[in-house]
Amino acid sequence: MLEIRNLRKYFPIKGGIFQRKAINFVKAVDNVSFSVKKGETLALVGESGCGKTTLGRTILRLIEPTSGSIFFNTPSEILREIDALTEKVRRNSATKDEVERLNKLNLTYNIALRDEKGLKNLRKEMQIVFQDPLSSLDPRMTIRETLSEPLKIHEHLRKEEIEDRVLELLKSVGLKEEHMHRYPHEFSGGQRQRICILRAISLKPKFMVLDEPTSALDVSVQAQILNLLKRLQREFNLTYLFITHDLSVVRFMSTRVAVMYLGKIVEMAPTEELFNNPLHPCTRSLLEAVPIPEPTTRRKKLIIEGDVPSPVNPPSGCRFHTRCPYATEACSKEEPPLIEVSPEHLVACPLADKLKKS
Amino acid sequence: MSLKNWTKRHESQLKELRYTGFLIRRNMLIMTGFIIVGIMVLMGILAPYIAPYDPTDMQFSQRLLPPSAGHLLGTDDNGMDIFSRIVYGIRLDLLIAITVISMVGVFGTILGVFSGYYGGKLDEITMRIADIFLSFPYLLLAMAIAAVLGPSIFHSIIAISVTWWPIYARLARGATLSVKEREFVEASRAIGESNIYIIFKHILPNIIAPVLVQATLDMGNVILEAAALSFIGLGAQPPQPELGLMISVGRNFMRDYWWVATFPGITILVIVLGFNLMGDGLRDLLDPKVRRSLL
Amino acid sequence: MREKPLLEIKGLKTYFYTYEGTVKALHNVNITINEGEIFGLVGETGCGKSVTALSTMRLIESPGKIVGGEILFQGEDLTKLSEEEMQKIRGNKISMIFQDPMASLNPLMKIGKQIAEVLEVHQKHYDKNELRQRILNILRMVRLPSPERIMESYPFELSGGMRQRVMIAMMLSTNPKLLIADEPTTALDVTIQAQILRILKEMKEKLNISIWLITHDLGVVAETCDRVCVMYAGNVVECADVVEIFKNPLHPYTKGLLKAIPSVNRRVEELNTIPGSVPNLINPPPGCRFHPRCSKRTEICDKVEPKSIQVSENHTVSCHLYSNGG
Repeated sequence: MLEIRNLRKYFPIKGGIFQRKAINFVKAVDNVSFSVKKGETLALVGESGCGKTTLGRTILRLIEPTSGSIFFNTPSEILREIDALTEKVRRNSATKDEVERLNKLNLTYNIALRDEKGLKNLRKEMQIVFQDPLSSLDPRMTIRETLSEPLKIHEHLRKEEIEDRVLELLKSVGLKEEHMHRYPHEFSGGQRQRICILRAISLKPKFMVLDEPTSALDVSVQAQILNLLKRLQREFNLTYLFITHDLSVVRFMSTRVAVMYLGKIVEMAPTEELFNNPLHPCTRSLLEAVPIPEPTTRRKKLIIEGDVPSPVNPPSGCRFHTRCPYATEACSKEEPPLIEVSPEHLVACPLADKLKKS
Repeated sequence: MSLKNWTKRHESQLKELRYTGFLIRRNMLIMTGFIIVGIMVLMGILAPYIAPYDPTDMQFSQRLLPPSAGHLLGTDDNGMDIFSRIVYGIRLDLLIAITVISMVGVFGTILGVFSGYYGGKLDEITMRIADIFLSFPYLLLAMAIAAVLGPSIFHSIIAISVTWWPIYARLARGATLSVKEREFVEASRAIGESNIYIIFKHILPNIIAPVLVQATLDMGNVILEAAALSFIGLGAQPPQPELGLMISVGRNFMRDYWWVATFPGITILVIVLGFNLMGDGLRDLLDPKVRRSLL
Repeated sequence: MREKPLLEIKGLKTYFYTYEGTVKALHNVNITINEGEIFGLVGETGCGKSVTALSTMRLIESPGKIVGGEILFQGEDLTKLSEEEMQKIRGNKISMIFQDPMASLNPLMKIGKQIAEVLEVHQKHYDKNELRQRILNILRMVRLPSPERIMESYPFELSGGMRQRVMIAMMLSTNPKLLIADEPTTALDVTIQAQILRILKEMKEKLNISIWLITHDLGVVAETCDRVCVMYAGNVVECADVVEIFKNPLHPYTKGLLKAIPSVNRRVEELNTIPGSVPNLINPPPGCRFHPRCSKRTEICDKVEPKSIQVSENHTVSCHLYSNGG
């Protein structure tokens, strides 16, 4: 359903006397490729600064990508054609017609190249829910006004019809009519997040980015929201990209997981496979570090030392090598590619095979 | 819609309003500010009914009379009643201030919001122009402009406005930059709202509070500046009842006829004080953080 | 062997007087912290866990006020001390660290200098060399790499995890008896969180202090604490050994909370939820404050406030379900 190819997002760091020249770049997302299948929940996990949030927003074009392609709902034969043509262009063996054909296809299908107008139609199909529900609601708008906005913009309805729709939405998540005229600060965190979710699904999108939707919430509220998200996924046949740093939520929510570290995907696998058989040391250390609410199983942990390095000057070679307990000299020299080690299980670590056996 | 229905729909707003009332009542300084400004505005509106004499009616037989029952605050060198002139002076100065602030406020704010929201070249150019204006002392620049245009109230309004807009442009730009980063703006973009819609629907309502505070504080400042221009002869012309002009005239007789300059002076002081107190109070009332902590 | 209590909070009530009414943030809170243990206080946002800690430090500011109860620290009632006497206890015998270390560090002062200040305010004067050695030792204790460099750094040059370690070092430099840690790892990544929690455990062993860990994360509690109390809406609802509370939770709220956490070890299809939301503490529900959300409520629950019941040697619960001999 969603195909991401070689996506990059570099944020310039301005320097020089007039703060105008880019002296360096934060490589928030660095050459990331993956796909999201229809109806699945792909979880994007990683520590802060790994680029998962940037990636989510770049896909929705809330942040402009530096380079790369994003294909949404593109027929597979067209994707194949684009791939073939791109390969030809790369090898400089494409004819003029083929180059033109590729440009045309890219303009039609590649979201990364859409203009404002082209994006507006896309907005109905792709939505986002943010981490902090309080700051993602306009404090000067009542809930009715906030929820009316998407309907006003995309569907030409009469005022009363909009109001009916809003009321219907509110009721579907257990909120009442009197809540319509209240302001965001009068609600609890869980209620606010439900309102944000409503705003996102009011246009009946097909794909949603959930950017840490529960990390600002308490566990009992988190459970309510997660259940709601699952229910909505079933009802509306939604596809989720679930961004989080909390691995326990991942196991509950997702069908597939991609682990990111400093702008790169280091491991990708179906959820159960990843949890039962984590291969990349980065994934392992993340899993080990999760505190488990079972005091009897208090384990000897693999606690990795040090902090996440700066994404401005990421370590050479494998970016995790500075913290990796298994790192060899080769790790600091060569960047390991993401390879499929078993069906659907991709790892970017040359030692993965050895670790698998140990 | 019935009243009951209306109150139900606006329950939240009414609650906030009641709370605001409570906060105002609790704070003596804010109260004082509101009362002073209230009285001044009323005096300005009702000037024809309050003033006992025509403010420009010269009675040369009654020159330089001290305060008495007949002339509450005495008369000036042209035999005009000072109390009446002060009442009309308040009206005139308030009008000048309101005109300047509403022009400057709207223009500066919109400019600031756009340059803050879009950034880039537009921002760069606007802010550099604003810097140039801000690098002159206000009064000097206003004086230069007023001098070129020629002395009159209208020209002094223009002169002040030209020097004043950068304050609002800067303020609005700064506020926009911080509001722009909030997630609800991003959410609006994700919904597919256009930039113009976002600016007017989401950004403006959220930056209006600091602008209002600044506008209130500036009411006093503009009155001071208008009075200053008149004082040096570049604003209102005699016999117009303008407070700065009245002080300027009265200054010549200060030693023997103190009331001619003193009463207009006190009036200006009180007006400016009133607006400053009110502005400071509004800042506390409108700042969401302070507002909650005042509980 | 019975442990010796270090801090005993009895019937603590802290109210906040606001425009909308009196927020009864703490209502008869009873907590005991023993010497040499890591004590966990868990609960959700607004349940009063931080207010309890701040009350203990006597750092509640207007419009809040401690209106009743006593806080016995080594037998001395902190609520009765004057501000000067309290000042001597704060930072000296009881220290506190917060979620955001940046807010507690002076951004314009080097780390070494800040620690030196803490040492000199609370303790005798050192000569220059001795002071430097002490600071370095303190920094080494919390496993900070290259402490010489860190001494010469400003807070903004350090990462979040390092700043929190500096805070822990600083707060322990005065040899307190009790360290209160209010959500010390909430803002940190899991790998960094694991590092910080390990340091806290090491410090407890090395310095033989008590640590009062305030958190909303039951996983953190399970991995770090010896004993736990669960708070809900200004009440302590259940206290027990850490193993006991996870194995045999009694209060319906504790049970609900434990079931609501998704697990990394198993996949479940649906999470258990506690219906409703946290009550407004201006008008808290009468009787047991949890009864409107409780699936096991009986007639008595909205009438009588449950008392704390000792169910086993190290397990108390405030719930009517266990009141008749339970």
